[in-house]
Amino acid sequence: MSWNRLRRKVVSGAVVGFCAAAVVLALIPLGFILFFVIGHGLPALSAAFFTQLPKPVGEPGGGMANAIVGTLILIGLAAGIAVPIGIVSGIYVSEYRKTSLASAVRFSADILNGVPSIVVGLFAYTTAVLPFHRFSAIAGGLALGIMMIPLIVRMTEELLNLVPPTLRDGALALGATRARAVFTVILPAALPGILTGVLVALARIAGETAPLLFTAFNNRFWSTRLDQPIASLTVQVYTYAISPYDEWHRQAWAGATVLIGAILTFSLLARAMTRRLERMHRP
Amino acid sequence: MTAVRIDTGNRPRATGRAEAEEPMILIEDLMLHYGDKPALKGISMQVPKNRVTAFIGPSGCGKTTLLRCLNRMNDLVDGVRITGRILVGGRDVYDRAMDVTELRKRVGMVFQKSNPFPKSIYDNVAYGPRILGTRSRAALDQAVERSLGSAALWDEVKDRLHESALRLSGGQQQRLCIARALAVEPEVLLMDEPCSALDPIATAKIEELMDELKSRYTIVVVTHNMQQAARASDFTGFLLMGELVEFGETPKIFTTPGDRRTEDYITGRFG
Amino acid sequence: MSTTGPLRRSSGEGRLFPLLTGAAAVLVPCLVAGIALVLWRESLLSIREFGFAFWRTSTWDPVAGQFGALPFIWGTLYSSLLALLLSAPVALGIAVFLSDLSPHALRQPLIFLTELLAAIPSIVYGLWGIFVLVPLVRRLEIATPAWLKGVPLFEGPPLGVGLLAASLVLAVMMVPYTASVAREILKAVPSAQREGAYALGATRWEAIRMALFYGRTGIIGAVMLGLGRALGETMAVTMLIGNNPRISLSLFAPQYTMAAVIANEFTEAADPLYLDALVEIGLVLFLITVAINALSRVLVWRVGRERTVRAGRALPAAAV
Repeated sequence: MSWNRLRRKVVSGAVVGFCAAAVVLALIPLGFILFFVIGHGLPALSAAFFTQLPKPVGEPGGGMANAIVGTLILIGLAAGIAVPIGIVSGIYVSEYRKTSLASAVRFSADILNGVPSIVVGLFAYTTAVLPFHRFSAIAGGLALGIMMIPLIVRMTEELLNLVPPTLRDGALALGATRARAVFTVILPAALPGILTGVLVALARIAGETAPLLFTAFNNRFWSTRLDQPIASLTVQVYTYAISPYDEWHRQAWAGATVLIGAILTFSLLARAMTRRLERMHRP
Repeated sequence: MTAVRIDTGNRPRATGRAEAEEPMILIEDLMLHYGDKPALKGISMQVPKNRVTAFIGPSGCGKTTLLRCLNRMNDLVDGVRITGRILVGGRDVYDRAMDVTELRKRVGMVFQKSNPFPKSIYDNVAYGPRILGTRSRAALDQAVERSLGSAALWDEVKDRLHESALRLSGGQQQRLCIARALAVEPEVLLMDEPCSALDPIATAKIEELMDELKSRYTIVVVTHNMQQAARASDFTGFLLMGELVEFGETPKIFTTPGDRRTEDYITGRFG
Repeated sequence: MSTTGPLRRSSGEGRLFPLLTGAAAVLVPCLVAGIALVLWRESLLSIREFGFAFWRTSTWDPVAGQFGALPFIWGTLYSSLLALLLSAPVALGIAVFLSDLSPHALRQPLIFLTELLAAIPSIVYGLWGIFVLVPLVRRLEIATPAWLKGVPLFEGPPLGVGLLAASLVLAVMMVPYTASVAREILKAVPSAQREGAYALGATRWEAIRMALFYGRTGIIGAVMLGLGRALGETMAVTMLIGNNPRISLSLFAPQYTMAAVIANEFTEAADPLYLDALVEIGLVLFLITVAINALSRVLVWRVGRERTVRAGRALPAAAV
């Protein structure tokens, strides 16, 4: 084999090796993180974690019951804002895809998606905290909702586009108006996918911390009121993590484990559902 | 994976006129499976040197699959199993010692739809020589001019060598791909339905080219256009459902085919 | 033939439908404009007070009312660009592996695992960073030979927290985004390009290189996407970077980023000027990330028009 050919073969082999190594390299931190978080978190989990309120410093035990409920309330608020707006916008973008408004929406959705979460928090602070002079769950829900909107819009549009045009034409041929065709035929066809996507988006924003720091703030006590600050799993974990107390660190690991567990469950569920949907739609 | 089998005599034999020299390509009992579906069933033939050989047959008969075995492009497909032997220039292409990149230098290929790289005309043609190690500008210039000349494209592009290849017309792009393949100085040129995406004038140019090139290269062309095969080739092989039904000199195949199925295909009774 | 198209009013189609849906849709661009507007309005005090000197001064002294944001720009750019340098090759390697080299059976599981990396919340990265990465980095810093410590890149006490720790975590967080988009780009390259290269006798790498060349604009877009993500990253960075507003070349030095200072000091800020200064930082952060994301989007879409990049179902904020 000539020198040139040998060199080329060696280089090619090296590149292949590098790419494989890159995959391994990326999986190492993944394994590392999961191993550590779950390793430290599982032992710290107990029934108390899910049912008790945080105890003051120095007292062992306690839990994050208020934070868990708080997160659920916050993502519920976010969904309440983002899902209607997102789905209806998605319908518009899919139905009238050639218009300039549709292009503007698509573009802004991508932009909004890339806005740092802390900046969204600033916006929510200005619009929902400042005028009322207090932190509130609503402000937190607003911030999370804003982050969710672009995800829902894009996903709805994609899924609606995937519905075969014959379905729409069938409805229209039977005399349905456009609105009726969309709401009675096309949307229902895309609904399972949309719901899956909503679940995934919820899982994603449930893990957000920055936008809550000065909107929902935090709350050591039990509170489900929407106009008061509310605890959340992420902010609580953050507070505990940067504290100097070992007991709180343990709780932080536990909280992180619950977060990861929830997100993993959602991801796997969503993946299974998408797989099932794809199989159904394959001709 | 390589097994030499003795022809049992029932299969169609290459009925070319006895060549004084060795055939350029010798195929012995080639079988190919995609998974468990057979695509080529025991093909044996001899492709003569410095001639144009055409593979014809209805869609799905395996002619492109067969072509792609000759430069081992089928290696790129998952789940392909091959038995039998292919000798190009006397060397077994599936031999463990055979370097596939070297094989592909010796056996070039032009595709059904032209696929120029998103680079300049010059860089497209120079691609092959460059990866083979040619660095000197003068040598590359020479190779580019010579290959474009052989592909009858030089006069049309010599003043715009550094323009993007994608600006050329369909027929020009295909001739560019031919030039690109010739630049590495192969011995065999495989052409997979090279004219199917081209208009009649561009097609005629390429057929003319094939006739000029055969004095220096061995050409194997797959075509679904029988008239083209009749016009442009010296030898023709007719494939049907993965089998080589008949192989022989083109005039004979088209006027007095030996097999009923060949006759049916040629007279348009099917396919 | 489908009847979708621009606003078309035929009998049976009310005006209500496009109006109502359009009203919801228009909220999205309005939101973006609204954020920009609000940020601008709330930072006016600071803008008027300091003007452009805000971005050239490096003294950040809330007590004295001195606000210079240069350290934050420095920290943000330094950490993000370093993270980019570390993550881009790995991400591209993964993309190439998944699109061209991976055995069929491994492909889906590996894709799932990369998406999992993206799904881990920032706070968890931060938590892991504090308790696992920082001690490791500290040990690395202690182990640096004395002669190396003279170089400005490595000087300073071995604290563990600092630019290096933050950049490492950022790099890990960037990888799945860039890898996912780059993989889609590579998938979109027509196979005829690779085949053409192989048919000329190219090696594996040479054929892949041709595909990378074909998709180069999109790939640059993918890398920029990762960068945009890193610039705005808050929690993991603020937990690992040391939060010290000084400009330093050293990897070991605690520094500060724009997102981190907002996260840390916003709730402490008492006077209007302080608040507005922080919001101004948020405004610039917003503008920078918008610019980078817009550019990235243009680049990615250049490769194959309507071939929308399907950010996988579990993949968070990648620009779809």
